[in-house]
Amino acid sequence: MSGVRAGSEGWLEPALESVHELLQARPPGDYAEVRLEEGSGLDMVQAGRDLESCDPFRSTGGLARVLAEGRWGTCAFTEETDPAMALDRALEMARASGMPPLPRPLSPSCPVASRHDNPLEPLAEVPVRDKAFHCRRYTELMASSARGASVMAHYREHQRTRAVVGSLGTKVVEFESLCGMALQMSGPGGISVSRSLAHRGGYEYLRHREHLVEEMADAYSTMQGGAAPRSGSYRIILDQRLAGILVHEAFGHLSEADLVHSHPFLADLFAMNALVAPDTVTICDDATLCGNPGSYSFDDEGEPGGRTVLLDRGRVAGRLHTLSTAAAAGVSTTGNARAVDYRNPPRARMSCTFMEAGEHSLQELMAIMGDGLYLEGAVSGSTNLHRFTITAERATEVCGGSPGRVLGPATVTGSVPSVLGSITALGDEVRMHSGIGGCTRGNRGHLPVSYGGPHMLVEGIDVL
Amino acid sequence: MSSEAFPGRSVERLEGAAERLLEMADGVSASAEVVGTAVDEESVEVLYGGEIAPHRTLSSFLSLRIVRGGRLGGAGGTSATPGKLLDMAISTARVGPEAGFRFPGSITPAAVHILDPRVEETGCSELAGAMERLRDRTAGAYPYSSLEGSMSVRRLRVGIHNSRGLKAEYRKALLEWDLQLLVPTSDGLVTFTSAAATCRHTSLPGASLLADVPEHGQLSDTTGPVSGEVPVVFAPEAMSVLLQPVRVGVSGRSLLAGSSPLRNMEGGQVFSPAVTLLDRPLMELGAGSAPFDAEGTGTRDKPLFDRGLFEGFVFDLATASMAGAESTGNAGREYDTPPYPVVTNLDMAAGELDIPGLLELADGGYLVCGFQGGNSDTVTGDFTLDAGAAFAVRDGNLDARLRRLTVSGNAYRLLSRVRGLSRQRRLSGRDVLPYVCVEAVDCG
Repeated sequence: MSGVRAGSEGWLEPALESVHELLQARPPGDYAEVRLEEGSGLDMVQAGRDLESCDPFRSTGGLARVLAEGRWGTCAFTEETDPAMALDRALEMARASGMPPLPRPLSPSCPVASRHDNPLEPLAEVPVRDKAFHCRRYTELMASSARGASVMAHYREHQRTRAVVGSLGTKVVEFESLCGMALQMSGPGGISVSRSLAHRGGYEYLRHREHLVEEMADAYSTMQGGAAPRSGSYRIILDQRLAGILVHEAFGHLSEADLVHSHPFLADLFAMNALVAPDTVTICDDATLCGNPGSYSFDDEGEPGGRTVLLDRGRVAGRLHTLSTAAAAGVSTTGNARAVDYRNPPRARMSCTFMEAGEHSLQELMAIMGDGLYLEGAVSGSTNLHRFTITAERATEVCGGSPGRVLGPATVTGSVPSVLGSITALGDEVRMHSGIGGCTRGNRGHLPVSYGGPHMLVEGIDVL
Repeated sequence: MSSEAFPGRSVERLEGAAERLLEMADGVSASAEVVGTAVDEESVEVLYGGEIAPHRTLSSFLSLRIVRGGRLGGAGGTSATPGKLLDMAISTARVGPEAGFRFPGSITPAAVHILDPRVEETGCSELAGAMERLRDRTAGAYPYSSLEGSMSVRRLRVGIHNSRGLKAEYRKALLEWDLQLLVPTSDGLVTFTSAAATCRHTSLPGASLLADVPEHGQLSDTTGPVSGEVPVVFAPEAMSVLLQPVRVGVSGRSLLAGSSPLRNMEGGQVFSPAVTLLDRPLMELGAGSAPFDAEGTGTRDKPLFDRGLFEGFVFDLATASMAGAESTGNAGREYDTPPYPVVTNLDMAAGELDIPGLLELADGGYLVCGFQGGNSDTVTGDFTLDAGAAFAVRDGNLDARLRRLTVSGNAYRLLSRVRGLSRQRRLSGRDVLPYVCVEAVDCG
């Protein structure tokens, strides 16, 4: 295995070696694992003419996990704490735990490997003032193309080296570089147009994005005076970003093994092999979609990331597993154990989740729909696992298969089983999306994810 | 507590690192400020299958701010390598805003009780026991329900030093919980939430989860909402969500950005005369209470709205200097952000009605226990929110549960139409709030 390279500032490599030796020589409990992270980042907001914030941070620490008599204990620590002491505290937690023991032993695949992003323009090599310049340039362009609008550019970057060492031999290192930007223009009457882009790679991704501002200005001008659509039930076409959010919120979370196992009601509705959608619908989670936020080579238990088919031609086909949920279910992990950072234990989470393409162009979908709404742009999305709510930036009336008046924002809601069963037709092109935030399940911060899908025609969905 | 708090002399090591960083920063800047925070947290989380997982966090962070070349720079992070933080702060000072203020040179900390030894001594086993008891209670009411979320005790040591000689610290212990009860019904999941933080010992965190459900059969008796404007009683958990735009709107940062709907409204009647809302950093054992704020200014309680009249914005040093005002002692900061003005513990004055009396005011309307999704614009106050659980109100009593309810409107206008408030108040988030009856709320 090659050593720790880019992104490391000198703490991680010796810590990794000493933890490795410790776990090989004297592993506490039945199984022990330490995840180490060394990272830094920058958060910058340009609001109008003012650089509202420019906040760099560095964050280095780890998470020790010990499985003793089938029960987990965990202890997170920052760099000044000896990992050996954190392992002792984790063992203490495991012994104090009232959890029922895992029914089967864990089956880690114990990889020994490393993977490093090699971006064209490493984030650390681009001066802060260049990043500030770009934020200012994009806000100036927005301000000049939409007079009177409030404009904002929000830049965020994060680079970290992440290592996982396990007492059965796992030893992996991965260097990740993530950056993104959100642009927003808003005006009177609640008009708001935003674009968000993020990727796993270098700063080059954010250069020469002026065309985004042009798109935003066009959208902003068409929304002037547009009222929100009337409440009611509509036929709706979701654009690819909204389709991705629906996939993530409405179905993806139900595929996270720990969540669905917690709710017998949902486990029954979405039992393996249950038919929950038309046979045109296939949904996958794929951690190997390189370049997308949420992709990775190794998860936060050190297991290789992979592709999991969650819904195969309308039938529930898989769940996203960690070592623990896999042991409980008697299957293999899918490599979806993820945590926002070293302060959090890993849980079963999505990576890059998408619906596969159908066969129709957008025009064909509109023709099939006849009358309804075409929703574009995403403001927000949420779910309580059974109901979901998604807010679109704007709705366009479609009459007789042709687009008409552009309206304001629209919030749609529905139950997951009914919306999955109401997907009528799919577009022929999948696009992946992500933003500078991420998935916030459990209020534990933003976990980078990507989501996508084709244009999606849905029958009878409620607009609030 | 599972074992020694702050093991490995972590507090002493953090203090040493903070002093070294201040000395280094002082050498390359006109003035500097360092905040050090040590955290020892124990928590339990409900996992798959209802299992309760214990977790501990031992961490320490440094936050640095400097004035260099007349401009502000800063950085934050874990504490072992202060030199790297200083390098980052210098790089941001090249593009940062002009510093229009000086760090405070001394402090008279406010007297406030924020450390309850019973909270400080609570460990994972006590938290797990509380979670078990709560689960027994909720399962007793609803056998097929799922309890989700976490409880934690966070012990904090916060110290601030600056190059003008300020040196002050405090410690506190926070009991926090973020819980959801999901109850399956024939028409989907009904969601009850309880999320709060306090420094006060509480024997059963989250006990309010079922506070608004009068009897077991109530959830199966359902009705659909009638679209239109009706009176609505908002439980404290729902009111806390609706107050989020107000938290943003009273911030001096929103005033300076020109985005606050409260701009030029000082002294004006903004809310109903029934609404008195205070910012109370000196609330006894309040989660947001502290003797000084995140940049060392002494804290004080202050009215934000007195019988509906807007009393003024909250400021930190930077926004106060730009607005030509004084800091109100409302600087907050995360370890990786510079200070910004925040409200601490919101305290809405109680009304005179008991809950049945309040429900009588909402006859023909609804009780909203909490929200579970939707969209809220924290700048304008516009919102469209889905109720997690809601009930119809008939003849002063709770009637059938609503299969779904969407509430929309504007938070500022909503608070101008308050018809009454309850005597009973409850902690939600960091706020102490009554039940609030609002007339003519747009429901569907």
